[in-house]
Amino acid sequence: MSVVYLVLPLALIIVGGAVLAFVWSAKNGQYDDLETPAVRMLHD
Amino acid sequence: MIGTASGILVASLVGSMHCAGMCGGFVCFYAASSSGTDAAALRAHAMYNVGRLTSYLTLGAIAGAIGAGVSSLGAMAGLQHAAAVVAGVLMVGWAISTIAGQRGVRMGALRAPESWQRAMGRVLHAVREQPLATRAWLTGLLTTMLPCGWLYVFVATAGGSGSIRGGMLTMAVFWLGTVPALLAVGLGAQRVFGPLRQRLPMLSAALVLVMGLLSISGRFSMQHMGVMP
Amino acid sequence: MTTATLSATEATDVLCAHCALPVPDGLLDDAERQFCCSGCHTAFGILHAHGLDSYYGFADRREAPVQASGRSYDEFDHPAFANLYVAALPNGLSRTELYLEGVHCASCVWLVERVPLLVPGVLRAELDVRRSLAVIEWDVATVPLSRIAQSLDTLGYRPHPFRGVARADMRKREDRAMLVRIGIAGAIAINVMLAALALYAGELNTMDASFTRFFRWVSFAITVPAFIWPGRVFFTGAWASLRTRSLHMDLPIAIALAAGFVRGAMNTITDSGPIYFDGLALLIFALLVGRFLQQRGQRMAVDAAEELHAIAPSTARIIDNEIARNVPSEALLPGMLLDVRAGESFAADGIVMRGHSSVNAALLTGESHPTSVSVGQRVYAGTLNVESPLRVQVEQAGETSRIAKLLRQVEESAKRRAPIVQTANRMAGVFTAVVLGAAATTFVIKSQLSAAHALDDALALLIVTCPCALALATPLAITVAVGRAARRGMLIKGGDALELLATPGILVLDKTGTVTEGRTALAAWHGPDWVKPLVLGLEEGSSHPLADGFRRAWSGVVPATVSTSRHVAGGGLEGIVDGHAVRIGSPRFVRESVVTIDESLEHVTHTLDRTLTPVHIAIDGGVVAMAGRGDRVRDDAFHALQQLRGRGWRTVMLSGDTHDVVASVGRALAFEAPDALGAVSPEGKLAFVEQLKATSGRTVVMVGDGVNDAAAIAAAHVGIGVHGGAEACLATADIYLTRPGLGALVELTEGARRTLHVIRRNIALSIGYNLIGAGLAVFGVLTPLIAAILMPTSSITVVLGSWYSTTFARSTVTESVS
Repeated sequence: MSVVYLVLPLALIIVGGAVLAFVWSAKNGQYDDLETPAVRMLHD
Repeated sequence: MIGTASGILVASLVGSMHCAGMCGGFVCFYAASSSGTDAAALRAHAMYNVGRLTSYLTLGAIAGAIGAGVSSLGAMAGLQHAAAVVAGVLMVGWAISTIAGQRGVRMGALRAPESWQRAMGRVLHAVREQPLATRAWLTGLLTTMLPCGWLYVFVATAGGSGSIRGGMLTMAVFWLGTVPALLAVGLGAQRVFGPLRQRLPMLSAALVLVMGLLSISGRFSMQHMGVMP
Repeated sequence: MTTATLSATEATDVLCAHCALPVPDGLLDDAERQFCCSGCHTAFGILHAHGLDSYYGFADRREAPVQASGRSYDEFDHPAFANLYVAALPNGLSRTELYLEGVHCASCVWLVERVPLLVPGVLRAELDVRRSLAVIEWDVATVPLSRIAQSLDTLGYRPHPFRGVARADMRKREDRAMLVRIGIAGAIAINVMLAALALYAGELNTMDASFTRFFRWVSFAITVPAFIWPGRVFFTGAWASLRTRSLHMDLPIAIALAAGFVRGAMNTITDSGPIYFDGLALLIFALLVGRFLQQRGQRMAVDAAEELHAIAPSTARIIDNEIARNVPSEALLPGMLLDVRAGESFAADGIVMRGHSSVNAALLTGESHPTSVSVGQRVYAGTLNVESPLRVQVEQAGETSRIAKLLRQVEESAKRRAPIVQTANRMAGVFTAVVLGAAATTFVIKSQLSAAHALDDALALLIVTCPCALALATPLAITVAVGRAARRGMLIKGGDALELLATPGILVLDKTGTVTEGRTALAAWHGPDWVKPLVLGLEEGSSHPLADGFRRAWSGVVPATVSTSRHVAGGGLEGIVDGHAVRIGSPRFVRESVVTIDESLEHVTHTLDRTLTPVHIAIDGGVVAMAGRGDRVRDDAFHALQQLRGRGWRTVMLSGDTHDVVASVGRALAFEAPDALGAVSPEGKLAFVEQLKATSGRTVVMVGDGVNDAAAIAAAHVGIGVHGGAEACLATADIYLTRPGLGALVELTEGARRTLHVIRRNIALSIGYNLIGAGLAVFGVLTPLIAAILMPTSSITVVLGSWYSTTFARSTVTESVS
């Protein structure tokens, strides 16, 4: 059970990584337009 | 010692706005003529900073060697950590003169001789023909040759460590602190500093004053830092 | 402040000529340039002496010599320019954004930001390299903007005024910041809930005290960032509400959040009692989502308009001393000369100076046929140059162009209207105030009974009843509905339109273009088939609407060859086709030269629908066929109107057309006789709508397509513009239908009714949940477990309920563009 002391912080670090990735992608405008890319593909 | 190292790092980070101001021109000297690709520009920035690191380490080693000499002389005279005391006195002196200058006290500024200027200019001129990465690296090397009080405060600190390794470590930490600001200049983002710039000279002088006093009291040195216990 | 102190403060602001840091007073001297230290002095000397001072901008940059255009930039000092592009700052300074040509690297930042040194009176110059955008703040009394522009020009950056793009950019940044907040709040909420789950599970079984403590501290640690980053908006909002002394929903939320957090933190440290962090984290997340959806919903129409914006090109080619170069559209100024090739859109409103071409202005007027333009005529931004190149002198550009004005109107009407959302917000505010009161009462009463539990119970009440489901209820339902409606070809600008359409009222329809197709068509034909090729042959070269009508009606018929043809003004066409003498036109014109008329056709003359304009066709001296041309009623009109009437709507038709025509169409579509009114002027339509609003007490909906309907559309409770409508119509309508036909109206009212139903259900559900929670909390039986279950369940019910209810069909209409 004391493995929790190790695993939980580790999990939180991973979550932090995911959050950072999300922040990065949002700031890069990945979510600005969710529809055009899907449609654009059809025109090519 | 971690405490000393982080002290130097903080001082260096704060003061690096000055470096950004002063060396920015040189950063632009190589960046302005870059071929334009991001990868090439990034490589150039890296090379510039490596160039600075090279010459800083050299300076640190020289200062450390001198410091070692001063220390052993001091030891013969029965003084402990003489190098640190000398370095501390230099730092305090610099800090006080800076603060005095800020307060309006007039004093002659030390100027590098004209010939020095001309020589450096010639080197820069010659370097122009080199490929981008080389040019960036050489520019970085050359930056150390500028008569910059701030830089030499840290060279003094390096000497205060009283050992070659300590001197090099001091300069490496100092270098680390300056990288973000100079990279920011290269990437065109130095606006980040904004309002802090106005208060900068006083702030950095205050930091150096504290460091110098600590150094005189023998509690601020890279002497004990390293792998060996 | 006296002059002496002023100059004293200025003296401290001497900046180093090299690094632009302040120069210490002790180092000031008489030299031309001041330096902050000898290092800078040396660096300056080196760079300057060896021609490497490119970064000061005096010499070559990037091998190419700096090209100063030497322009005077006088127009930058023009009051009109100041009106458009310059903002006055509260401290008396002016501020503008300039787009700079030729910005490419970091050194440019250096150069541009040296402008305050080069030009006295400039206080700030900042450059955004990525967007080539410089922000300049200066003192107008000391230096004119033209002087600043000149100095930028000498540095090699040609300045252009810039506005508008910055705003769009800001919106994008706001959206992204919001999204980031939601993402972080969500991630934190999920993790805190997981920790909470472990704690509750541990409470049911038995968990080691050290683990319990560990999980509580972990919850605490990950909740803190949720307060610092995403949750901060509520505290700043609450603070603003306090400062302006206006009650805002953020205030009770901030109180609840702060109280819960403080209590939770205390309980964590003392290791006793509930910690609340799971509820708080979820609350922040849910509130942010609600807010985001609400913003999105309000912007739906604006976004639709933005797409129109994109139709106006982002760059334009200007002719400057016979040299063409590209500049951003935002940088265009009145008086510039544009070069617009065939197939390109105009970037600004202007006058044609050279060339002759045709322009497609469908975007602005709804007119689908190109109109020809020549020297001296006006063209508008966003319209398309179809045929050949034109030189156009700019009259209005950027924000003052006609299309920009139109878009601004749309934007403003979108901002103005969203009372349904406001109602929900008010309700939530009142609700929270009640909850706050209840919590206070609970605390006071309970503290008489048992001091230990009083605060915990009051806090439990606060948290379990926080209106996150309530805050989500309305915006979520509206967003889902508006989004789906848009995919079905109905652009809804405000939530209130949906609310109003939900209850049947009075539907006022324009005739031409709304109930009918709005264009001349061949509506009746009496005659043999062999005549058709001859008719088509004679009409072949004609651009008359009738010729168009024939061609559309008989698309399968091959025209006969025509040898001669003549157009008689006010009469019709005559000519020789396939060896026959053919005449087509008004009865009077055709009968001038006619010898015989078929008996049966004579009969037709009397029975022909009086709403149609009769056309006679004579071949070789005898009338052989008759046609009726007119505006056809839309195919789905009758069915749609009957459905609407069946749901309780009263339908009225207004038209500028003659009484006869309107009455006839009205009969065909089963309008009650007094509800089909002809010969109504635009002012008459407005008055009619106003009067209905005043007397009927019901919702008045105006549906129209033209400029003549615009005033009535604006005046009605809900204005609806139909497919192909004109600019003014699009601007004032609350709802814009992008697909033809009246079927969309049926779908719209039905969808609105269902949406309102979903909103009511959502509100009832969330209030129900909160009442149960409040009851349990007041009686002290609210264990953390129940709170943890109730909180998300109410939100999730609302979300799922909104998503899965059938307000508008979920499929996309593909035939929306015709």
